[in-house]
Amino acid sequence: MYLFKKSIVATTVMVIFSLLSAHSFAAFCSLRDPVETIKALHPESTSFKSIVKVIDENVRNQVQTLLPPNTLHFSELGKHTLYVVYTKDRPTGYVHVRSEESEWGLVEIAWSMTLDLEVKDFKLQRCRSRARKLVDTEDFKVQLRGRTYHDFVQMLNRDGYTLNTDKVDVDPKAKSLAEVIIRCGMKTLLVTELAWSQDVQKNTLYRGAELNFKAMDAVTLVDQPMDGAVSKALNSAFSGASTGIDRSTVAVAKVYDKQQQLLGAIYQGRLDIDGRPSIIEWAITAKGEIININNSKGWGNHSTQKAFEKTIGQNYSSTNQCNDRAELVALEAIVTTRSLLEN
Amino acid sequence: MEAIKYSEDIQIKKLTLLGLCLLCSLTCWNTASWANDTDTDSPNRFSDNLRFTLDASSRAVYFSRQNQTGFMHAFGFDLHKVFSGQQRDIGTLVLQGYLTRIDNFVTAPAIFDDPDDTEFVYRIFNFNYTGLPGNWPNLRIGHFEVAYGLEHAIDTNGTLRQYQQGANLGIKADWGVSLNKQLTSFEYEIGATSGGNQELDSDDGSFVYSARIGTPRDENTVLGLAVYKSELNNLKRERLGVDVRYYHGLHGFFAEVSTGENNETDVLNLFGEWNYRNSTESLLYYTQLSYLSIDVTGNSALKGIVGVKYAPDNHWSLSTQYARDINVFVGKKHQGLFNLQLRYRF
Repeated sequence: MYLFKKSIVATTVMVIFSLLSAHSFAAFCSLRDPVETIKALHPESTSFKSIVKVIDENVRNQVQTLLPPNTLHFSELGKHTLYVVYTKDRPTGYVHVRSEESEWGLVEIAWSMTLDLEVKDFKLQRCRSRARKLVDTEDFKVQLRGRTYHDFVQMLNRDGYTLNTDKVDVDPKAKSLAEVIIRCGMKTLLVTELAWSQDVQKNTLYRGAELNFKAMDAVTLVDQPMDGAVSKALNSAFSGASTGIDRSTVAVAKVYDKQQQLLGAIYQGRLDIDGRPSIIEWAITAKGEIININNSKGWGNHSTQKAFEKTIGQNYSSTNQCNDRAELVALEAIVTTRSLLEN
Repeated sequence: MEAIKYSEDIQIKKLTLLGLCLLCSLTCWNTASWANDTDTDSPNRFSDNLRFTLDASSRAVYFSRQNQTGFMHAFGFDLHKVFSGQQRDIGTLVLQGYLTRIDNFVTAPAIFDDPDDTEFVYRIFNFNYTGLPGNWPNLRIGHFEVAYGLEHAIDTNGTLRQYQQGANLGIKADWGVSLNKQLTSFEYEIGATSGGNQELDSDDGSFVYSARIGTPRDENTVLGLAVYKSELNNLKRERLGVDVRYYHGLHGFFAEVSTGENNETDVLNLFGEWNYRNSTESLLYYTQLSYLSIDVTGNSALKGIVGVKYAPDNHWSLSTQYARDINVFVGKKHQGLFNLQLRYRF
């Protein structure tokens, strides 16, 4: 009886202590070695690096808000890993493994993505469905390659759950499994963007610097780019008005050559173009001239692309020089960059 | 003398813990110094790529032969840390240490001195160096599971559900080194360990050699082939084993066949499991049959097990299991064990 009482006391203490806790973690010794999955999805890779982040209730709520009726299963919460894949010392993509509920239990899929978060390939890591061989085919996979989060949303019907057969062609016997894969891919792209946004941004900035500044040797990310002098400069240039760039998303990297001479900067910011959220990236020289512009989500239509690309080679200093929105946002990028490079 | 030996063991464990902490800190320091100054998000703090949780469980066991109830309480930590350099992962540290108390545990596991005892128990406690390129193997050092059979690819630490590794091999996890890798078409681990179980080494010349090669563990059909040789407490064991897992929808069918010798006496061990999960995988039902034959004259034991595990979220799990001897070795008595366990991971 004495032992029983002691055990009850111990259990009660444990329960009370547990109720005070708020964190959630999965079992750790069963975590897998990802090396072969990464090699299969990125055969050209030479190494990879883990970045562990917490997928918490906040991310879950955002998924529920953006993708009803989808949510994250409890096994999808907690700490998860995004693998940054390197090829010859350069980041070239990502691998992220997510699980999705299905009638056959959890289906675990390893997704490979480009630096711009387009699907490159996927691997069914754990799938107990007999239809597996019907989707583990080139015919099915090719329909998913190069697709973005928004493309995946359109591969499902408006209910956000069932397959849009106008967009995806699959054997009817594998329709349920295809729905699971599309939902998993859609959530993977969204969760990666939400939880690893800084890492994704950092890698695209690095790539932008490398592509646009041939003499690049080093890149320094600017911490809190919109602080102090930049805000003042933008207020002065635009009289407090907004050009549409979401300033909370702005990231800037300064680019240097081997002699530590400043070559210029890469500026990234989120902007809605033709109703679609886009990440625009400008490469700007130390003198404030635009040398390149890129939309990681694609321009959508040719006239928009043309309007933005005509700013290449320009160096705007006031709104008087701007005739359209493309030139106004280019001015904002230049004002911000110039202010940061001067300080 | 016993008290002195106990004190030495505690010292060895403390030194091991200190050594691993030191190794961890040094690796962390090195990782920080490798970080490129242009790479501001490189892991350079111990908290980067770190998973840490406290883990508590209470288990009640009813021993039918003795008509008594015993208890086991475990409280410990589970740490998983990936060390990364500038552009690659270097290795993984997994540390699981549990202060474990048993009360009236009439058939106490060997690591406990008597039915009422407290021990600090190492479960998985090792560093796996993964920094070698290409198909070069990883190098693991520390306390890890013996590379053999079904147990090798299934996590059963702290769970009621087990695969009879201890009964068959005499040991489940041990201190030592191994070479391991998961390749596209197969995976392997080759280990050499001290035979000390919870101790770093043993004074009686014990050792364990084990090796398993298997098909990838995530496939719906998994095959493994393993060999094992050990000397533990002056008992020599040799085993050759085959393990199979087959998944069909929500059902899983596992089997393991082991054959070999215990001190030149023939041994045959057969094990089978059927399990079923619900689609959200919060419920697991399983039933197991374990057959062990020692010598060729029919001296054998057969045990049946049924169990359920309910895990409604990432924190809680409630498990129950009933194990019953159907047939026992000559001179042994039938035993029935009813287990109930509540576990919480913080």
